Amino acid sequence: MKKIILIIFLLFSFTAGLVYCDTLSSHFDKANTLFEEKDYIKALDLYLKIYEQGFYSKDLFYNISNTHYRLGNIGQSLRYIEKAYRISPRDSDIRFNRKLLYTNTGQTENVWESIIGFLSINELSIICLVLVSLIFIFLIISKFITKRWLYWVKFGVISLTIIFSVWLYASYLIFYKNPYGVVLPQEINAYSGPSLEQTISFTVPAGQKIVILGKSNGWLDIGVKKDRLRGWIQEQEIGII
Amino acid sequence: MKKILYIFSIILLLLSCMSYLYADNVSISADVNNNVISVDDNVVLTVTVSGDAKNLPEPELPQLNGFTAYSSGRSQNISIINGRVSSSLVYNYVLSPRTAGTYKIGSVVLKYKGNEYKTDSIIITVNPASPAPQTQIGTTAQPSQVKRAQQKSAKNIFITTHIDKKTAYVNEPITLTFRFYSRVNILSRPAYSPPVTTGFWAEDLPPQKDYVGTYNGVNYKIIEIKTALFPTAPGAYTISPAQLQCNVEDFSSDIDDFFASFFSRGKTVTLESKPINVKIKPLPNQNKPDSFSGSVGAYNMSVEHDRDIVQAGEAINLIVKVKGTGNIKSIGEPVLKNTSNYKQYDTITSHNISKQGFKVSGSKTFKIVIVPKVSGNIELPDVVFSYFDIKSKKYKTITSIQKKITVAPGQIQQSDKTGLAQTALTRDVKVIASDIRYIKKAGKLKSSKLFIYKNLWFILILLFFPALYFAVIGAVFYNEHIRRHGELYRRKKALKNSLNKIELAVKKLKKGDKNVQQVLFHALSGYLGHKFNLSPSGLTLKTVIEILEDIGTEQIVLGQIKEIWEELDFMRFAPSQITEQKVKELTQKLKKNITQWEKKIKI
Repeated sequence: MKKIILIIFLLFSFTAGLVYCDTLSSHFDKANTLFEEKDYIKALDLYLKIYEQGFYSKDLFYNISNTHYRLGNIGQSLRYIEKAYRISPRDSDIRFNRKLLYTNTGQTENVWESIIGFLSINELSIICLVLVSLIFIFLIISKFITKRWLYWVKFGVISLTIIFSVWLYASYLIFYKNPYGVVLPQEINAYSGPSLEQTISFTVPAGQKIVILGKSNGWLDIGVKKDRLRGWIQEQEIGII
Repeated sequence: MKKILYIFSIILLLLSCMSYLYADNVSISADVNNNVISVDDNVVLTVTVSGDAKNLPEPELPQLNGFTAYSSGRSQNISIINGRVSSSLVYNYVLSPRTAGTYKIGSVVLKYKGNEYKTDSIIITVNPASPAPQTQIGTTAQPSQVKRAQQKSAKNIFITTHIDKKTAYVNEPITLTFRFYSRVNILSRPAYSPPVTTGFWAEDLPPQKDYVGTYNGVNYKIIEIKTALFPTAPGAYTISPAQLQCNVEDFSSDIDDFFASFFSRGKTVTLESKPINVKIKPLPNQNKPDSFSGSVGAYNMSVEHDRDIVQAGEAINLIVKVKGTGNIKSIGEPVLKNTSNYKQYDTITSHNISKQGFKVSGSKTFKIVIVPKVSGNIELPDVVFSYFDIKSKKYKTITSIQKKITVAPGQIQQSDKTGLAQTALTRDVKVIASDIRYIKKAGKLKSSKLFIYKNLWFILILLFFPALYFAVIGAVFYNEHIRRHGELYRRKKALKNSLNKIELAVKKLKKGDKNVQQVLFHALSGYLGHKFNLSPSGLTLKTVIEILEDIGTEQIVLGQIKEIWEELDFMRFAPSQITEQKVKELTQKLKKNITQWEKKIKI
């Protein structure tokens, strides 16, 4: 009896999952149709509904970025293309749009970021997982077989594991240790402290990518890497990538 | 050869000494521009001194009865030909007659190296004042007596500024004239502060003019400076006053002229002109051409190109020259029309400005680089230039004459793999605008987590292989340990194995199977065999007793083992005589005793 209940529960869950995915897919298709009809506001609304369901898809982010661009929200457009880029850094469409948005906002891509970002953090994680597993598999094999080639295979796998682990850590440091954000309004002031009464240190244009270093009472401590500037900006003016 | 050179050098030296000896061919001449003048006119006396010398002295003027003389500058020309210096000095004097009559200007004398050089005397007839108006500074002629009265009451020194028009269009030239009038000796170089001309693009109009003229019938030495002003935006502007500071002779009017020359002293005078208001009108919007870029004046345009035959993709230089009068620097770039067959690159500009006749004129040249995109006989782009003509107050547009050029096809492509040669014109991809790429319509709504390593399956896989490895390591180590220490292992496992066999017997008994004596015997012999590291199958009671005695086992234990062993032996060989009750008792007895033996048998 217990087995029957378990099977029924699993079947029900699977069916519900399929129906849920199908609903989201139809939302996605509908949003695409609205985009084609140039009803960008409704299209964006539908795309964002899918995103709010917890979907983390490169195509979804790419289309959201496109829609924001058509609506003239360059900051939001850059924010979502960055999200798409982090999932799929070698997608030619994503790369093209990201480069164009960078050019439009007067920014240039950091060379190290483009090298380290060639593989996404998930791809690097999978590679490291496979390599670590291989190390232990070959260590087990070497308990039973003692061959010269096995030594070199182990050496190669361990070397690759070290390289990819360092790459993974560098990717984490560059892209995830301190979260990034994008300036959403046209141009905002960065203050010397988390208050409007503080001195305005510098201004940041819309679409400028900034690194978030800290947070305090609705204010974000931000840094502009290329200019080596640091200041405080109100949280609602930043779209976190 | 050396001798010839030596003689030649001496001859050259002698010749140069002779040229020095025969130098100083000095001559002097004097002339006037007019021998008959009226009393309100001036006559210019020109004294020319020339000679083969560099430093000729200034000639001495004779007593000039009936005239007041002013120096109006000098010019010098020095030339060196074959090492010989020749100099020519021209001195100009303005002679202003005091009264009518006939006057003789005596010889002008030049004293040089002990010699005295003289000019011929000149006769000048001064007629009474003519009724014609005074022309020099726009004042009317005055009778000599009135003039003299005016001269006495007039200012000795002052400045004026005026402009040639009070209303102008944006970028229309306005000439600002500054004049400095003086009839006293200036003891220092005047410091001139030009007026502030905010809202105008100013261009100096050299040269500075120095002359003698009259103002309100009074003779003055005048310095005149002109500036061209180009208004930059419409509106009402004020040209601020010009200022001039100088040190002049100070004469007290009460002192007699004779003493005045002895007691004159310098004083610093600051002069200021009046401000001038100007109204600048905007250029009319009506009929303003599309190609108009703010040029105002009078212009013409010429267009040239450097090549008539080119290959597609090669550059052609269009040289567009706009020439005329106006603000040359601000001439806007002419517009190219019908450029669909060309790609236009950046333009290089240069200008040439002339200020002759106190007018800004010249030319601005635009070098426009164009590259044909198609082959054939194609027309050059039309060059269109528009400007606002000051005279007619209308916009005018100049369009270049249409010209054709021959464009040969571009690069010839190499043969392809099939050997078929193709000839094609290289065409650039024309970028109209940069836009983002289109949405992903066929995109899959595949969810992926931000960090895959936070998934449970990822962690499990990551831990599985290390765990497997350590399990294998453990197993290998255990086996090795068993291999090395089997006796100990067997001893430790002896009790557990025996108890398991007893439990098996108990289960059989519960099922009604009373033939468990063999199992119980194996439990006992197995226990003792493993304890003594002997094979249980070949173990005898005698061997067991001997070993137990050797290790000093208690007699009670020996008795218990002997008793149970014999009972089980009996049951094995006479199974028909045993009862179920007896088997159960024996099983319990063995289980109880074997546990006690574990503590009492010390090996």
